[in-house]
Formats: sequence, structure tokens, C-alpha cells
Amino acid sequence: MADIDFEIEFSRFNEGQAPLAHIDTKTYIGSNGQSSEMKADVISNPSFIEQSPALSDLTNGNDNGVVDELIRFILDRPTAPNVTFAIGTTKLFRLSADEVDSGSRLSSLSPSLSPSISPSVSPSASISPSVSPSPGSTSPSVSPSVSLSPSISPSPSPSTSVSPSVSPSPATPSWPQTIPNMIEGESVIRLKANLYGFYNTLSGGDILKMKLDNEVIDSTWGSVNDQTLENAPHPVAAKEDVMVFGNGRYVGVYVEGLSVLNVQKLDFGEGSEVADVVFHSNIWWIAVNYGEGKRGQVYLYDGSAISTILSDEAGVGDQKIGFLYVMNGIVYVAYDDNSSDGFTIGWLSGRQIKPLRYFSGSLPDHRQKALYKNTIIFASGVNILSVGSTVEQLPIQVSTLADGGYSEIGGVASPFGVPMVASTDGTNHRIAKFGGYSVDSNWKSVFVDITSGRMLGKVHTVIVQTKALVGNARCDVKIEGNQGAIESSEFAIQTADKTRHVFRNIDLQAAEDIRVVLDYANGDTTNTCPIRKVSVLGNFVER
Amino acid sequence: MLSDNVCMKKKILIIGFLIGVIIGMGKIQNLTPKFDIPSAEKELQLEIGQVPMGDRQGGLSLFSTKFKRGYGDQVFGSDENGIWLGAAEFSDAPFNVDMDGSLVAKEAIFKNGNDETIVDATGLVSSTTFASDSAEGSLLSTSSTSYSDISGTSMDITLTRSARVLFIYSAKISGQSPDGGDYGTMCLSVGGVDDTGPTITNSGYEHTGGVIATTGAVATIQTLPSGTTTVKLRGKSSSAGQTAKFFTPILTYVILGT
Repeated sequence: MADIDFEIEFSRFNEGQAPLAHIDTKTYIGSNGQSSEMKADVISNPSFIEQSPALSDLTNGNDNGVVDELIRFILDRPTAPNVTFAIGTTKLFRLSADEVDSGSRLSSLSPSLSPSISPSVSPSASISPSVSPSPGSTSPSVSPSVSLSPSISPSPSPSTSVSPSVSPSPATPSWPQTIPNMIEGESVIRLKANLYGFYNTLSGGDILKMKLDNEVIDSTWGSVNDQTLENAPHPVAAKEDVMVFGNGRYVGVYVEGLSVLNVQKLDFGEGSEVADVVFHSNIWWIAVNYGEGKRGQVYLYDGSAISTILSDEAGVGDQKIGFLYVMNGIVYVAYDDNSSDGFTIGWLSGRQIKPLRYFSGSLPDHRQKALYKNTIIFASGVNILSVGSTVEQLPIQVSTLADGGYSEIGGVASPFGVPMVASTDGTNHRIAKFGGYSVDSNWKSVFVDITSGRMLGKVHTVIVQTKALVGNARCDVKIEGNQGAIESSEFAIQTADKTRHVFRNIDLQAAEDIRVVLDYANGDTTNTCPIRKVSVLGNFVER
Repeated sequence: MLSDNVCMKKKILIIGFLIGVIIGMGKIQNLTPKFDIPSAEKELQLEIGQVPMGDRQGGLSLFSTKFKRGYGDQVFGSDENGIWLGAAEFSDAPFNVDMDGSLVAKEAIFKNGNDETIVDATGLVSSTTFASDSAEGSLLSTSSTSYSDISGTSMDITLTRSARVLFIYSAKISGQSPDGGDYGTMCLSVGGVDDTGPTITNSGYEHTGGVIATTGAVATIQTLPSGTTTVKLRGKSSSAGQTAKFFTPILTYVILGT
């Protein structure tokens, strides 16, 4: 007896994009949880599809504030509570979690206190208790009810004046600070008590040094202490007092303890370019591209950075390396596979680069990677993608997580736990962080064949299961058929407090294949519509 | 008859109903797409026998063509050049041995079975080697044709084992007559044995204006036995009754070793 009904269940959305989604946006290959196209959040709560995070500009974080150029690199860790730095095309910026600093500040870094002041009562402080007679007694005695004089004066000290008030240090330089001759910032890093910034000029490059306590910049520190840099990408990594950085065909090293800077410590030869540097397992891992980005190699370099000889190497192949990233003790590599479409995230397994997942868009570089929800987020094209697994029991996913802002994405980082993205469209500039929900968010399943012999499939019911909806949370569901040539009407998933939404009489004609489309265009920016499962029911019809 | 028809209709209805139920109970086809994906835990496992790049085990860093233990310049390593100690790489190390067995070492201390240092950073240190001494004697004036001791040149050499010794000795020697027909001869005496090694035979003469004398010097290497050996210079005249004189005689020795 022939089956006349069919059902399709879409769930496990944590699996991200389908394996061939980077090649074909209407792919049939994939699981019931994977998408052929998407821009949604499947990592914050892997059981559910949620809307993409929206971007909200930091205070002063656009042309109306102080960000009037593309911020190219954001330091991915704070240098002090709620403080980090970023570098643009001509300026160095100072950031907090919510704001781009503008102007001078009264320094709270090192308030000057009179050294003789002790903020707490110490045994050496002279205390004048007030003595009162104990109840019922005529002889005065110091009792537990003694009250201390409210003003505690410290013991006399050779340093004379005692001032209980905090006098602020001189104001810091005015932020952002313009760097003379800089046309392109490349990276920023903290090494001990200083901040170092790498940048390109018209004729080469240089390294700036800024003391973190007074925020005064020496913009030509690099060229003065050794020589100018190449005009090239300058990825950098640091460990204790050693800093290793890319300098075109060279790798440079600075050992602060020895005050020795060598901007050409290692030479990879003509036609090479250092793409990224990371430190892991007491070794520097250096990604180098050759032949105009036609071939990539990963080298290992001794952790002390004393030797001029490399320790080991692994060939990526005919691929250009974008970046390296260390997470949970594994070195990940983003690279452009010239032999196929799209780009790849892989990992260094022994001496192999093992591909993990593929994506389309553009190859991110050392400035455009960060950690979020235990996954690596990075820029690709105009979007922010995520690759990884929120927990190791779930599969690795790659997904388009959010929009990147304007068409050209600069730096991506997560110094305070919430990702920040800088972007420009050539005229407008912004630095924004994830916040709220975006209505520019959607999810499309893989196409599923619904033919059976001579019969086509006719969808009659769609059941969507969600979390209990709150407020104006909404998502629209529709069914596309025949490779997108036909589609049903949209049905709104929106009833508050409801978790199971049933839509009958789906107005889609019998089709060869279908896919589910979830669209948050009419969604809410405050309350999202988390979807756990979509069930499609139908029957076969003769055609 | 009528009741038979009713019964038949009922049967047909029941049968038809049952057929409808059976048709309605046809299996629902599950078209849910399937694609097996391993967990991240499984996917990120190294294959059996695979060693991570730059693996570290017990302080040892393992690479494809070398291993190192240590950090910075405090390294013990091995690669295609050989083995080394004390620097990040082979070529800079104060100690290394290449694949041909050539050793470079900044300094070394070698000891004998009695834990006595026999070689250290400055070289051979045994009391039997490289010790030296020198003695300058007094004027000898003799007309005897038998050797006489030259005073002040006697030295005792004590060796723990037989060793080769370098002797250098010199003197200004004169005879009596100005025609050179008589002369003086000086020899090295070792352990009471004269004429050990070459002699110095020189002529010259003494006159009222002074002495015309010629200086001679020789070197010789002699093997001395263990124990104490007395060495000295001795001189004689070539002709009985003719006075030979030996001015500023000097004897020097250096123990070379076995």
C-alpha cells in the first residue's frame, strides 16, 4: 500500500549551515538542522534559532562622535578595567565597553595621595576615644561603648602636610590621538606596562609606543630603536616580555627585558608575507603566504625568540592563509582554497591542516577574529560568521551570525565579552557592539525532495514550536517550492505565551521539493522568537 | 427479503468502512533529511599515532627534525647538525658535537681514578707536567779536564711518573789562550750522568782589557724516571793547566708530560 502522507521535521538548528551552502544556496545536501542560507543566531542557545544580534554604536562611535575613519584593529583584551584601545587609519582610539573616549580625562589611573595618609585605622594611628563613665559607676573607664573620634589623624611623619582629599593627576592627552604620518593602522598590543601599535606610512611602517600610565605616545619608537618597517600587514602576538610581529617578508622580535628590537629577525624570502602570529604551547606559530598569496605555510619558532632558525613547519598547500586562532589548545587556520569555491576553517592536526567547515564571502585577516560563545567569530564579506561548537558534545557549526554594519568591515574583537565591529561604507564610519535583536535575520532550510514516484508533494500543515513568546516577538514562516520558483504566503508566529503554533491550509501547490523559510523582518528588536522545531506535514498527489 | 437487503447493505457499509480505515492507516513517509555529523569532541581528536606539531613531553619539545629541552639559551638539543648544550641553536652553543664527532667545548675538567684533576680549563695540571724551574749559577773557573759542578745550577726534579723534560742551558765560555787552542766544555748532568744531551764547547780568552767569550745555548728533551732526579751543569777545560771560565751559566727545565 503506497504511503500517501509525509512529514518533515526541522530541528537541531545548532548544526549551522549545510556543507555545500557556500557553493549552492539552494542545496539539498545537509541535515534537518542545517540551513542553505541564514543570518541568525544558533549559538547563544543552541537548541533554538534566534534573531541575529543587532549592532548599536558605541557612544561617540560614529561620525557624529569621534570615529570619522575606519577603525582597523581593536585590541581584544582590556588593559585596565573597562579600558582598551583601537587603531584606525590615522588615529589611536581609547575605548570602554560602551564608549569611545573623546577629549582629555582627569586621570583616575594614579590619583596622588599624600603618602602619610592611611585610609584605614591602623594600630599606629592616634585615636582619641571619648571616655565616658560606665553606667552606675563614678570612675570613668573605657567601655565597649567608646566611640572613636570621627577624624582620625595619622601618626606624624617627616612628610609634612596631611591632606585627606585626593588631588587628581594631570589630565591625559586628548583622545583620540592622531599619529603623524600614519595612513593605516595594523595592530595594537599590550606588553607589560606599555602599549605598542603597528602602522603603515606612505613609505613603510613604524611602531608606536605608549606608556599606559600617562598615555603619552612615542610615534616613531620602532624606527628610532631599530629601523622602519615594511609597508605590509603587521600581525602581532606577545608572551610575557617578548613580542613577535609580522613585517612583510620578515618577522620582528622585541624583548622588553633586554630592550632589544630587531624588525628583521627572521627572513622568509622574496615574495613572502607574514599573515599572522600566535603563541601556543611555548612556541610561536607563524603563518606565511608565498607567491602573491598562492601558497601558505605555517612555521614553528622557539618560544624564547632568540634563535634565527625555525623549529618546524607544515604546508597548508595552494591556499592563502587569512588568520590563525588558538582556542582550547587547538590552532585553527582560516584559508582560501584556490582549488575550490569559498573559504575554509581548518585546524592543525599533527602535520596536517584538516578542513572543518566552509564559508563564502571573503577571507578574514588577523584583524578580524574574536572569541564569542566558545566559537570563533570573524568577518567575511559584509557579515560576521561564527564557527565552532558552544559545547564539545555538539557538532562544529559554521553560521552567519550577524550583519557587520557598513559594507567594509574593519576590526572585530570582544575585549569585554560582547563583540565589537568597526565598519565603513567609504563615507560613514562606525564602531558598534552586539546589542538587542536585528530584524534583518532569517533562516532557510535545505531543500527536501517531496516526490514519490510519479507523485508530487502537497504541504497542508506547518507546526512551529517555540519558547513561550513574550511581548511583540514574531517570526514569519513560509514554504518555498521547486527550488524557490513558488512559495506560500507568510504565516506569523507571534501569539504571546504560546509555544506551539499550527498553520493549516498552506497555500502552496504541489511541488517537487520544499524548504522552510523563517524570516524575522517583522520581528521585534527587544524580544526574539526562539524556534525549537518546525514540522511540515503533507500528502502525495498524482501529477 | 427486505431484511436480507438491509443486512447486505449493512455488511457492505461495514466492509467499506473497514477498507477506508485500512487505507487511512497507510504509513506516513518521513522525509526528514539526515546527515550524520560527529560531535566537536570527536571531530577534533588526533588520529591514532598522530603527534601534534611542536609536541611537548616532559619538558622535551619534539619537532620533525629536532628536539629541544629547555628554554631560551638554557637548551639541550639535537638536530641534523649534532647535539648541543647552552644555546638556542647548535652553532651558538658553548658545547656541541657534530655528526663527525668533532667536539667544541668551552672548558673541561678531567680527573683520574683518584678524583684528582689532571686536566682543567687551563690545561694539563699534573705535578709531573708543565712544571718548570730555572737556576742561574756562579762563575766556574777550572783548569781540570774533568767535569766540575757549576755552583748554583743544581736542581731536583721530582716526578710521580716518568716524563719527558725539556732542558735549556746556556753560558758564556772562555779558554785561556787567544789563539782558541784551548776551550771550555759545559754539559748537562742528569741523575749523576754527565754528557746527557748535547754539550756546549766554546773558546775565547781573557785579556787585560776583559774577556772575549762566546755564548752558547742548547736545548734537549730528556726522559726522566719517576722519583727525584738531580740535574745540574758541569764544566771542564780542554787542556790541563789551561783555565776555562764559565760566565752566567743558566739551566732551565720544563716538564712536558708523558
